[in-house]
Amino acid sequence: MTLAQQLTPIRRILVALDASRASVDVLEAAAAMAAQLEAELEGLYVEDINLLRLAGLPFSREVGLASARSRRVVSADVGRALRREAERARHALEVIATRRQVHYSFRVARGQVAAELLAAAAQADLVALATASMEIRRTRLGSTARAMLASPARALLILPPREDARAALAIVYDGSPRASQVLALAGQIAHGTSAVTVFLLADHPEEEQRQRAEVTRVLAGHGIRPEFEWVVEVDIAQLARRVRELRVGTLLVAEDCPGLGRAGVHELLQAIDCAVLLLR
Amino acid sequence: MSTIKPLPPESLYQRVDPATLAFKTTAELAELTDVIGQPRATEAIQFGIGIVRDGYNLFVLGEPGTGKHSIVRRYLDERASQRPVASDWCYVNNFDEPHRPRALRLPPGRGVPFRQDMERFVEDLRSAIPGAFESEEYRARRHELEEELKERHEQAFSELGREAEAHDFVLVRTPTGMALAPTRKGEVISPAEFEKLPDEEQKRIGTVLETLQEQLEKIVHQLPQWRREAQQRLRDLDRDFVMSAVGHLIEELRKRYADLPDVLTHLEAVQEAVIEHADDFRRGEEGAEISFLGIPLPRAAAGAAQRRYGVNVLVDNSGAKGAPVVYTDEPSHPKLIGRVEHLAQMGALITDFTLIKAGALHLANGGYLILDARKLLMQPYAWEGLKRCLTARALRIESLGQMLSLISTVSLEPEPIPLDVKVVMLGDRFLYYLLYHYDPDFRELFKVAADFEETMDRSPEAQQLHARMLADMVRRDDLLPFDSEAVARVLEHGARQASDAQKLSLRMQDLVDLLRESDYWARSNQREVVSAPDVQRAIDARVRRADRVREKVQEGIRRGMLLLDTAGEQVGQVNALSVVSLGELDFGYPTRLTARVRMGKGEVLDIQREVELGGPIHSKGVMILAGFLGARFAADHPLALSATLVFEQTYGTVEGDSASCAELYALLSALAEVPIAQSLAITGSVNQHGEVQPIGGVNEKIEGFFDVCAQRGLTGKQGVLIPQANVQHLMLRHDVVDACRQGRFHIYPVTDVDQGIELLTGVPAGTRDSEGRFAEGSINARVEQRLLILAELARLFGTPPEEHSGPES
Repeated sequence: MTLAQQLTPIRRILVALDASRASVDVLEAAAAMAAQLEAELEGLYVEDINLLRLAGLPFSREVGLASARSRRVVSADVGRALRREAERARHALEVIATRRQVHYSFRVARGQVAAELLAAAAQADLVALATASMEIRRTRLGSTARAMLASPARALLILPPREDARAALAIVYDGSPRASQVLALAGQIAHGTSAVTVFLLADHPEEEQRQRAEVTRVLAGHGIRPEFEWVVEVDIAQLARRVRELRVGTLLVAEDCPGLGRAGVHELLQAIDCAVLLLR
Repeated sequence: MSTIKPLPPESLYQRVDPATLAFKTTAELAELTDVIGQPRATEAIQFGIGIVRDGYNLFVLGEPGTGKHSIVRRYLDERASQRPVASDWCYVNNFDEPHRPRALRLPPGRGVPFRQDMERFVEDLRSAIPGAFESEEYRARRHELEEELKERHEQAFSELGREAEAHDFVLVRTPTGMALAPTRKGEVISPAEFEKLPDEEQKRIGTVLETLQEQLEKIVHQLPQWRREAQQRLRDLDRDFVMSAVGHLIEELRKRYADLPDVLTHLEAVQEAVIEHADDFRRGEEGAEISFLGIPLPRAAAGAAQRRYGVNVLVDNSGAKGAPVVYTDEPSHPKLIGRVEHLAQMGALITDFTLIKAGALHLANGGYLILDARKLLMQPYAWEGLKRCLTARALRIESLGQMLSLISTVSLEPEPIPLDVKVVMLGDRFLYYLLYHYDPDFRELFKVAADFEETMDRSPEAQQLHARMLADMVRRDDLLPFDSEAVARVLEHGARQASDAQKLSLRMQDLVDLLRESDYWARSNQREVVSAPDVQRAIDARVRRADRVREKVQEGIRRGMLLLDTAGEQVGQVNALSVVSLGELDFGYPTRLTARVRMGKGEVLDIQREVELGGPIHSKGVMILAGFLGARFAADHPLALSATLVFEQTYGTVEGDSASCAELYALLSALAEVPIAQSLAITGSVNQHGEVQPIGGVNEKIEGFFDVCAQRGLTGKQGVLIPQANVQHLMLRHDVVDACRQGRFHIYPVTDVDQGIELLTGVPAGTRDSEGRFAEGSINARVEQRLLILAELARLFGTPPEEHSGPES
């Protein structure tokens, strides 16, 4: 039994929901993946405890992002807004899951967003979330995404804000057992999809040939004929540019991919603008 | 007895001697280069075509079938071939005001290539613009700009976040904005914890919050500005890239059209518009089919670019030689002035400059336009539209719906096109005179009238020329050649058509028809040359086809339903002659006309007029009779007469004064109580002096009476009295001429009433002697005596009974 075959099936996909457009995109992507993998969707809406506390403070004021007006934060208003957001998230989940014919559940938690997500992630096989839900981001990855990166979640699907729908799939493959698991997962996800690009991290031709043969064999089992990009010397910036050029929609990569290294993977995450499925 | 002799047979028909034509068949005749018989009209046409001044358009007037169109066309073609080819005209989009498309004038033949160039240009843009936007360079630069904005945001918020953290605060995202909250151990303080804090701490938190809040507001205030700046930079970037893609394509076009400043201006506008609407090319036009309720819709986007940057070639003069000569047989307002069509899309009517369609004036611009006046005037608003264009010397396309405010859909106001056209309108005379009198614009716009004759003088030379013209028609219609006798017969028929032995008909259409029909009969008889019998057969067949009514009238007379005597004598009864025009056939027939007299107040009563079946000219003729009688017989006593005159058995309107002679004869007969020979028929009008005046349709009238007599058997006494002045018009049928030659029928020319009454009664008319008295027993003496008796009776009836002395006294 190979490591690839040991890949634990993804049965539960946790989707972090909020009222943002990005959250709906994540939901769409997660539902599509759930349909391919026959997994169940679990929608989680976290009522931010910080916000509730803020609303209770006597001097709390907010500045509207659209109006740039300062106004009082009122507890009752915040409570209503959170309930409304939760309902909207639930409705979106219901509509999308029904359309995709995917089983789903939905719950609302109250607490620190990252902590609640981390707690829920322990029960999930894959956590789907947006790079950042806020329009104004201090970094490409928002605080929640960064917290999830630091968590022990088994697999993460991190989606950037979508400007256009890109179906193309890409894999980073270095011949390692973790990379083989990624390959197996890619086969399941991209079943029937023709556009799959594989970045082969091989420092000599024989290795590249070996990897190419292996990938071809595995993906052929899923009816996929991949395109190959041979990366002789790993340069994260160059790799990110190539990903952009190929208009990749989702990149599959193992976090502990020896070819890139954990730091390299995290750097890549910051540099690319497509969705990333990070296998851990 | 009358001294008036019947006309000799030579006066009844002016033959054309085939020997004088000097050819065997028309095949020998040279082509006629000049127009014959229309010197006035052709001079006017040449003048009208030649003069280049405002308002010197032509109205060519004349009867239908006189060859106006072909003659005008010939002169116009000749003149047009010497003039330069007219410009091409295109409509292009006006990017600033799309509802006002721009008109472009291009040298002839360059409109279509310009359109093709623009089509290629758009095709090239379809690949060039997406190519530019998909380039790595563009993406990288766009990415940089986006990242720059993000960094600007991040930097502002990071700084604020760091400062907040330093003061134990955190930035919190609320559902609609951002807020700052105090923290303890990384978590926002709960209200309960806050309450427990000492007052100083609470105050400190409040103060710090105030400062941080100010900074937050400042940052959020700046966000839209930063976004706008970034968008502007992105737009500039897009513009640069589109420019790089479009620039060389436009440059190529600029070089090609460097000699046309208007086109260059348009290309400038195109370049700006392409840059402005680059998104049209960025989004692929392929993709899912658009449908509405399952109905596939025409892809608006698919043709959008082609439509926006396309060229609507309205007038294409490529391949033309000389100026255009355009004839339109449907001169409706839109077909004349042009129109803007609409497309139905999703239930709405839409339009743009590509849907502008040319009118006949566009096509004729720079040349000549031939129009049929009657057709033009029958089309609503077409005449007004034409006048407006000619007055303004510009072609402004405006739909009737817009003009009359009937339609309120958005439509176009295309830029007017300068108009330089000479209009030649063809029409009947009455149309010309009506327009001239009732439309003041007409005089200003149609200063040249070319008046076409229907006849030309007959002479040996004219006959020769006419024969050449016939030969041309024969050749043009690919007919069998006509021998000289056939041509002679056609010429004779032409004179008959002209109702004048001294004239030849110029009704080309009738002549061509006769030639074609003669050709038909010749071919039916397997002849290779058309001869006189074929022509005669064609004439007879034509009469035969049209003479149903004539036959019915003749039958009515034959069977005694229409009472008419052709023998014997009757008092107060004459045979008057009428002519009827029905379609292509004119025919005459006799009608019994009777007169009764009694004492009265000097009135001659026209029964026809009394029952409103008499026309004004007829009534005038009757009134003249009273004038004649009064002047001749009752100059010094009252005309105590009441006479009634009637056309027996007529049930329609009687018009014309050609029966006034007959009426006078009947009246004189009734007054004189002298019978009139019924074997004679009369035509001619009379004046107050008793002079007989010419009338129309003399040939048809004679033939009409001849046919009645011939049916009953010619006695040798029968004949017709015609005005002397009508002798020159005689072109009678051969059977009539033959009967006259044999003395079985007679045509008497008369110049005055006395001649006529002598012929009709066999009694001298009588002239006044030195004492002013008419000869005893003469017609005039009898009439005078009768009138005197009536006057005396009237006088007696007008006085009281005791003063009566009786007529004898």
